[in-house]
Amino acid sequence: MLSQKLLSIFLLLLLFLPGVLFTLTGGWEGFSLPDLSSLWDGTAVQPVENAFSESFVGRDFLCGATATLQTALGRNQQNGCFYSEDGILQNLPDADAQITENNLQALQTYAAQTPTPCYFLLSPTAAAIAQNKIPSLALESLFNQKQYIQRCYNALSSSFRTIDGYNSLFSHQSEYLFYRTDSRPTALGCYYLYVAAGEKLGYSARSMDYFSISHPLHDYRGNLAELVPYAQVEPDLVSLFHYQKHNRVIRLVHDPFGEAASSPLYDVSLLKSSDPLQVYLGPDSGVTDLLVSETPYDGRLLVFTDGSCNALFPVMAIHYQQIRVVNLHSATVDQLAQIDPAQFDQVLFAFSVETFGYDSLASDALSLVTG
Amino acid sequence: MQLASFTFLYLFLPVSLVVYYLFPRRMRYGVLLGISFLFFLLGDPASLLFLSVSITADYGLGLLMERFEEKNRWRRIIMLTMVAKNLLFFFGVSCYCQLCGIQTPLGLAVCTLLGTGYAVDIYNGEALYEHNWGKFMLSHVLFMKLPTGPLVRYRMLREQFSPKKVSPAQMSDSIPLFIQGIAKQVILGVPIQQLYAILSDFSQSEHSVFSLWLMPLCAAMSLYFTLSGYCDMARGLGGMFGITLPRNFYYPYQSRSVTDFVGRFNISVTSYLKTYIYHPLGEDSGSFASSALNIGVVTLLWGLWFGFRINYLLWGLYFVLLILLERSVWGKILIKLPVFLLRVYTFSLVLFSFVIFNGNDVEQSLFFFRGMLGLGGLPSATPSVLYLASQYAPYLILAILFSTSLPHSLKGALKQKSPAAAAAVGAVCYGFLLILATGFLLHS
Repeated sequence: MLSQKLLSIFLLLLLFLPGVLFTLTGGWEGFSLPDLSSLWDGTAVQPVENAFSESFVGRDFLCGATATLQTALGRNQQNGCFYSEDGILQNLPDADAQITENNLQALQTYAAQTPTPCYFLLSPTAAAIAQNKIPSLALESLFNQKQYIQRCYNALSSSFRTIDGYNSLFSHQSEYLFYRTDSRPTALGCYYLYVAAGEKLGYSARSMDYFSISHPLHDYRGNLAELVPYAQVEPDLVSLFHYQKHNRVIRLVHDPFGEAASSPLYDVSLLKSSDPLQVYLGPDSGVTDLLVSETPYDGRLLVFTDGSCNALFPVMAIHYQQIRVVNLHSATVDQLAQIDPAQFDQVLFAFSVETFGYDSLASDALSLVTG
Repeated sequence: MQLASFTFLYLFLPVSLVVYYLFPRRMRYGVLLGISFLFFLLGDPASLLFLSVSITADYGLGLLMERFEEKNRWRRIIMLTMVAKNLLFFFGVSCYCQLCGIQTPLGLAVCTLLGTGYAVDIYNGEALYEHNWGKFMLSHVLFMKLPTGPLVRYRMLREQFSPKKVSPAQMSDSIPLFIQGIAKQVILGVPIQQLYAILSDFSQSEHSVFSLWLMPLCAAMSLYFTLSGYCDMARGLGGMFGITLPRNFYYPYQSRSVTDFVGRFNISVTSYLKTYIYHPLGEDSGSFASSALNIGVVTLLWGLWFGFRINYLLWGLYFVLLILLERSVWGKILIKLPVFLLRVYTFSLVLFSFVIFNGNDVEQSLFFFRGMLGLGGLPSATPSVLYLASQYAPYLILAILFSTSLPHSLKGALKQKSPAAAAAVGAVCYGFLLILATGFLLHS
């Protein structure tokens, strides 16, 4: 009888404790009685459920322990991501054929309307390059990004010069090309894209010796860490490539058609912001100019991008007088209307497969430019 | 609000228990009614409104029936009105929800079928007319059985609303049962359901023989762990509030025949159908044809419990056929077989039944059947399904293990040998299970 009582008391305590702690720690602050409409549609409890689970006693420990247990049981995929100690890789589904077609069509229309030579870089994601980190049984069902990139390049071959970023990255696949916790390529990954781009854009890519590389952030946790929050993955390094020769000075001008705020390249204070990768091109203002002084080059490059490889442009800038980077995610209609490709010598479209195959970003934005 | 949610588990339940036990025993059924109304109100207030009207109508009609003498034809008319109203309500709303793709109102089946049973019981003199609206309402809207049952006869519940003390033994049995239910649903039911959902999304060209065998296994396990999990939660919660609810599943996957399986799977539905349909039809006391018809009607309805789809009807038919074959053709041979073979035989046939259960239509089920037997020209296995299987294998193995009576037998043996040690091990295991289930809930 006593043992039964003790068992009941122990289990009841476990049931009562979280609610008591929630109340004692002020969990109810800010809550008011549910209104009639939320009661009627059955959503009245949802805010409490969310708040309670967010501030649940020992939440991080419990989630971490559960994730560890699930990993020990063989699970290495969550929220569409493979995860291991080596990092988190997003498993992209097959690209949307219609969206891809629309994006390609928009690019072709743009190229047909502009006399400036156009270039296209479609960069793969980590899942296509770091295949050694993916469970072997899962490899065959992966979306074939190499094939997809090739198909897009073939479709644009008449009006674009295409940049082979895939092979450039794949040939260095053992290096730190992609963040362990973010879907974007690292500064090193972007350096190899810069090398690949040079062959088509006509500059002679500088070897790594020309750059000094600093690592001002050692504990970066990127967007994939949010999808797999309790994976035991080492945080990332954020690296900056500084060109060492000829004292070239690169300045950023944000929103050149508007307030035109100027800042030096690599404002490290941004490493403390919510998105530390803003360090490469500063806070996103839709359009950003990289202006280079003390340079023998006078080329001007216009870039339309999805913001996936921003570390590429500061390195590329050493071969230009000006690079104008238009982030199609954030550029406004007014900004897009003021962009005149005739002022530039080259136009580069730089996208990640992750955007180009699933987001009508390019077709939507370019339709505003081309009408 | 769901039973397996933080709000219910750590806020609603503890507060309800405190409030319930703060009141004197004679008032507790009223408190429980208030708790049940609140649960309904926070989950599906529209259903509460509609069902309250329907239940009150049953209450009134019951009192009206009492006014007439036993052989008065008005009693029969009132009983038939009550039955027709409840069945129409049940079938009409269920079909409407299915056609519109909206969720069936909370407690619809449980309340309407209980009302139907009440009408028949008071008509036959097997239950007393209810004069207390509160107790009548409580027997219908008792919160723990609203989501998925078990389906209980009115008089069985009514008897339990009298003031009584909840013993420590009842409490110490109930809390672990509740935790066991959550663990079944959250730790095993949900992941296996996830695997099943992934496999269901496969196009025909993505399927392989292995994936087609895996699908019914996942369906069988996820259905069992979800439904029996909810039922264990309901029984555990019932016990905490001094109410005994019957079990709904009795290790169905270790049945020794298909007939045995039907008796162990969704027991309360089987029992309800037997009480109100099979027995009045004359059971199997008549000719073979009438017995077959009786069994057929009950088993078909047993299949349709899951919804109004052609495949559920076929699922029921499949069992009708097997039960009749067991009765008349190979039942005598089965008796002579070793238990292990009987279990393999039953589980194989049950697994095949889930091929029918899973299919969206007959054509799809036929594709599944052909594929499973290697007749569809499908590969034996694809890397993607092998990968999925490797991801979920531990869950499936645990599910198979915990769908048998082995863990329960071990627990019983320990309890017999040393009750104190069993309590200590129980405290550790159930405490761990609760924490683990919470972790799974948080992590999801």
